[in-house]
Amino acid sequence: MTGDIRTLAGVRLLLAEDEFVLADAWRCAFEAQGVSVVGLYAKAATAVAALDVQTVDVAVIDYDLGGTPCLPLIDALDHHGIPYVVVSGYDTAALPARFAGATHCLKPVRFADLVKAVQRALASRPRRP
Amino acid sequence: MDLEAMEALSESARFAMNTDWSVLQYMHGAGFLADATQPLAGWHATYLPYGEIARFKAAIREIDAGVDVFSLEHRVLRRDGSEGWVITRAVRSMDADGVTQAWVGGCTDISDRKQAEQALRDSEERFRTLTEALEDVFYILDLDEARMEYVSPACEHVWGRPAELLKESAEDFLQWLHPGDRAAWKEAGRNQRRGLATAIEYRLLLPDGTCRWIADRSFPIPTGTHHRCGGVATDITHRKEAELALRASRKELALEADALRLLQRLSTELIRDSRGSSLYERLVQTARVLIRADAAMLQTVHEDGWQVLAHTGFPVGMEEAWARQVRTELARRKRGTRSRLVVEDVAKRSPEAPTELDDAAEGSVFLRGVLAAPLLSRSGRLLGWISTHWRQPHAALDRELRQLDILCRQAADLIERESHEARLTRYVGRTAFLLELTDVLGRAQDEGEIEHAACRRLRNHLHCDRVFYIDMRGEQPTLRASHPGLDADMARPEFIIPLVEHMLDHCPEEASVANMTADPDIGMAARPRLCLAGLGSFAGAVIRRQRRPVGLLVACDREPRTWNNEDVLLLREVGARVMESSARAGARRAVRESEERLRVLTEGIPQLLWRSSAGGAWTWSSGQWQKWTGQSLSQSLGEGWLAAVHPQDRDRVREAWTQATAEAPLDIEFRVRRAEGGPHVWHHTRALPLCSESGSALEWLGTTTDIKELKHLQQRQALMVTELEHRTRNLLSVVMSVADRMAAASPDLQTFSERFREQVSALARVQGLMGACRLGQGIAFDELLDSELAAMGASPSTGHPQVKLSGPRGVKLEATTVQTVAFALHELATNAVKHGALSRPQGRLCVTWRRFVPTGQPDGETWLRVHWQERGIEVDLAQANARRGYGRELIEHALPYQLDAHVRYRLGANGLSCHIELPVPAAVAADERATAPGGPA
Repeated sequence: MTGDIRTLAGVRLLLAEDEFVLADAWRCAFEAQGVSVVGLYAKAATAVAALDVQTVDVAVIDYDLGGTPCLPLIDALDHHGIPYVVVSGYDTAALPARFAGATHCLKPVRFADLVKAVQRALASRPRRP
Repeated sequence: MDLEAMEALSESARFAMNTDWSVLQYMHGAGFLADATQPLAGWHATYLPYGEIARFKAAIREIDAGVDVFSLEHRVLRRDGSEGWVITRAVRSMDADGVTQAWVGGCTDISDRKQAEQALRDSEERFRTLTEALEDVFYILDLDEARMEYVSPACEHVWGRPAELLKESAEDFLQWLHPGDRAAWKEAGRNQRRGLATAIEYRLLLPDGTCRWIADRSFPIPTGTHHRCGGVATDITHRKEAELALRASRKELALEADALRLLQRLSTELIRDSRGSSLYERLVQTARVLIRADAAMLQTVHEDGWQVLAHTGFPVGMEEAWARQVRTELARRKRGTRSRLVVEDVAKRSPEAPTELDDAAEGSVFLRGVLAAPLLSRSGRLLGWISTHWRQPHAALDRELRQLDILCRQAADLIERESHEARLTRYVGRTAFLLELTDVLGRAQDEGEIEHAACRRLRNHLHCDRVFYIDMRGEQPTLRASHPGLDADMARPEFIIPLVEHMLDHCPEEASVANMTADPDIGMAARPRLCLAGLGSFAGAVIRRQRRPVGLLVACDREPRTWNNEDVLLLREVGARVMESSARAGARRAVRESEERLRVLTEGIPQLLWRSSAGGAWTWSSGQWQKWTGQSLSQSLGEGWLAAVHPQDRDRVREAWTQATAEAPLDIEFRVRRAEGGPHVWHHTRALPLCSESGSALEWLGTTTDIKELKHLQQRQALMVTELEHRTRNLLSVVMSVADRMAAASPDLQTFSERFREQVSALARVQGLMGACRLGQGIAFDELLDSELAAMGASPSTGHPQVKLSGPRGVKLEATTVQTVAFALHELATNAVKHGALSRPQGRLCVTWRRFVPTGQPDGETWLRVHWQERGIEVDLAQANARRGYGRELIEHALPYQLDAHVRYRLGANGLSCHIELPVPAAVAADERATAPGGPA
C-alpha cells in the first residue's frame, strides 16, 4: 500500500456513498488531509467495477446504497483484500452477521471519528503481499 | 259294849291314832283295809295312795284345838292293793281332864258313790262342753208347758238374746221372726206337738235391726212325762247370702255375658267392616241396647267445636236440642271434668239450673234420665261423649255402667283409629299432591307456567271453584295465574285490592279463612264486590319472603264452605313451593341467558377457546378451534390438540404447561396448523386457571389467537423502526454536511440561518412526502413540484400568475429519488424567487415534463424529462455566475451522482433553462392523466 497509515497521506481511498452531499463533503475533507480519493460512487455496481481498474488501499462505504445493501461491493472488497469501514444509519445489531467484525461507524459520524475508523481498518488488515 | 257291837256290825273299818296322827294305834280293817294290831308309825304309805298323803297331812294340820271331830273323804289303798274311796271320821278321845289321849274313828268305804258321782260329773261335763262348744243353739222345749227347758249358751250368739230371756217366754220368739216367716214357724210348732221332726229356715230380726237367717231342726224326745222336743238352730246367714249372691251373680253373669257378646261382636265387626257413619251408627245402637236406654247419641269434640256423629231413638229433629242439652250439662260442671255425667231425672234438677230442654222437649217425648260417658283417647285426650237417654227417671246399674265404659273404650279407640286413618289418608293424599306438584313445578320453565300449574292442580285437589295467585311484589297487586274457572272480573283491581287488603289486615300470620256471608271481618265496603265476583267463601295464604308479603294464594268457592286448617296449611305449602320454584326458574332462566350469552360469545369471537385440566389435557374446545384445525371435538380432547401444533413447538408447549401456575398463567406463542395439510400459523395462547376457594386450580380456560397478522406487523414495525433510524441518521448526516457547506459559503450568520432554515424546511417537506410515499402511495412528480413551488408561494394552484406547469399528473418517482429531486426543485424554486423569473413581475416560469423511453434502453424502462424554463428577465450573467453556489452544484452534480440523471443547466440572458432527465418507474396507466395542472400560459 502507499501512504502513511497514521496521517493517511497518500492513502488511496474509495468512497461509496449515495448521498451526494455527504460524499462530496467527505471527499473534500479526505483530500484536505492528503488522502487520495480514487473514486466517489453512489452505486455498488460502479464501485465494484472501479475496483478492477484502480488500486485502492481502503474503502469507506455506506451500507445502504441507493436503497439496497452494498453486499456485492463488500464481497468484492473482501475478494480484493481491501479493508473497509462501513458507515450506516443502522445499528450494528441490525446489520447482517458478517459485519460483526467489520469497522462500523454509525451516522451521523464526525469526520475525525471516520478518520480513526479508516486508520483502524488499515491497521487490522495485513499488508497485501 | 255298844261300841264294839257297832263295830262288829259295821261295815266300816275302825282305828285309833295318837294325838298327832303320827302313829296308828290299830286298825280293824273290816275286810277291805289291812288290819293293824300293833301301833304303826309309817301308816301313811300303807293306807294312802301316794297322791293323797300330802292332802291328808294337810287336813290333819288344819285340825283346830277346839275341833273334836275330823272328817275327810279321801282315797285309800285297800287291802287287795286297789284304790278306793273312804270317808274317814274321827273324834278326840279325851281323859277326864279333857286332854286328848287319842283320836278314834272309822273309815267307811264310799268307792261306789264316788264312782257314780264321777260318772255323772263326767257326763254333765261332756254335755256342757258339747253344748258350749257348739256354735249352734241346742235347746229342749217342754211342749206341754210351752217352756224352754234348756238352751245352750250359743243362744245369745245365734238368736241374739240371752238364754234366760228365752226361757222366760217362748211366745216372744214369734215377735222376733221376720213377718214373712212366722207362718212357717207356727206350722213347725204344730208338727212338734204332734211328735214330728221339723226343719225350717226363718229370718230372725235382731235387736240391732239386722236380719239373720236361721235353720232350725227339731226332733221329739220320747222320755219323760212331758211332751218334749230337742232342737238345733244354726245361723245360716252367710250361706244364705252366698246362695242369693250366687243366684244373683248367675243372672248377672248371664246378662253380662250377653252384653259382652254384644260388645265383642261390635268390636270385631266394627273393626273389620265399618267405617265412618255406619261405625258411629253401630256404636250408638249398641250403647242403647247395652244400657237399655230409649235414645243414644255420639258427639265428638274438636278444636272448632262439637259434632253429632250419630244418634238413635230421638224424636225426629230433636237430636240437636238434646246434643245441646248434654253439652250444657257438661259445661255446668267444673271445667275439665271428664267423669261420667249422671242425671237421673232432669225434671228434679234444681230450678236455678234451667235447661234448654224445656223448650226443646216441648211437644215431644220428654226424656228425663241422662247419662253421658266420656270417650277418652289412650293418651287421655277427650274425643267426645256417648250419651244415653231415658223417658223415665233412670239409675243405671253398675254392670251397665261398666259395660258402657267398655263400649266407650272401644268407641274411643275406633274413633281415634278412624280419625287417625282419616288423617293418614288426608296426609298421604296431601303429601302425594305436594310431591307431584313439586315435580311439576320443578319442570316448569317460567314463573307464569309455575303459577298456572300450581293453581290448576290445587283447584282440582281442593275441589273448589277457583284458585288464583296474586303477585304482590309490584306496585299494584296483579292476578297472575288464571284457568278456565277464573272470570275476567277477578283480574280487576276493584276485586283484587279489597281481597288483598282483607288478607293483610286480618291475617298478620300466614293464612285466613272466611265465609263471605258469615265473616264479620270482611268489611262492608269490600263485601259486595267480592260477592259480585262470585266469591262465596275463600281461604288464602299470604306468602312472605323475609316478612314481606310477596304473593297471595287464594282458593275460593261460590258457596260458603268450611275451610279447615289443613286446607290453609296446604295453601301455604303450595304458596311456598310456588315461590321457591319461581325463584329457581328465575335463576335457571338467568343461567340459561347467561349461558346463551356465553355461547354467542364463544361462538362469535375469533379466538379459539378451550378448557383444560391441569397439564394441558383439554376437556373442551370451541367450534372455532375445530374449524381452524379441522379436528373434531373428540380429537382435540386430552392431548389430541397437540397434533395441530407445529412439531417444533410441541416440546416448548408441553414445558410451558408444566410450569403454568395461577401466579404465572400460561402465556405462550406457537404455530398451529390450519385444517388438514394447511400452513402453520403463529398463534398466541393464554390460559387462566379457575381456582377453587382453597386456591387449587380446578380447570384452565384458554384462548388461542391467530397472530400471523400481528407477527407480520411486528416484523414490519421492527423493520420500519430500523429503517426510520437509518433514515434519520442519514438525514442528520446530510443536514450536518449541508450545514458545514453553508457555513463555509455564507458571509454571515444571518445568511447562514436563512438558508439553513430554508434547506431544513425543504428537507422537512420531503420527509412529509416520503411518509406518504412509504404508505405505499408513491409520490408523483407534479405533487412534488407543486409542493416546492407552494412553499415559495409560487404555486399556480394557489393562483400564482407567473408560473405555468405542463405535464402529466401522477408520474410516480422512486422513493429513493424523491429527496434528491425535491432538493433540486427546491434549489430551482428558491433561485427563481430570489434571483430569477419570479423575482420580477414580468418574469415567467414554465415547467414542462413528460415521460419518454430513451433509445437503446431495455423495454419498460421509462424516464422523465423536465424542462425548467425561466423568461422575461434580464440576467446579469457575471453576477449570476459569481453566485454560482451550492444550489446549482447540487443540481448539476447530485442528480447525476445519485440518480444517474442527465442535467443541462443553462443560464441565458433572459433566464435559466434547466433540462433534467431521470429514470422513473414504469407508468401505471390509471395513475397518470395527460392533462396538466392549470395555470396561465
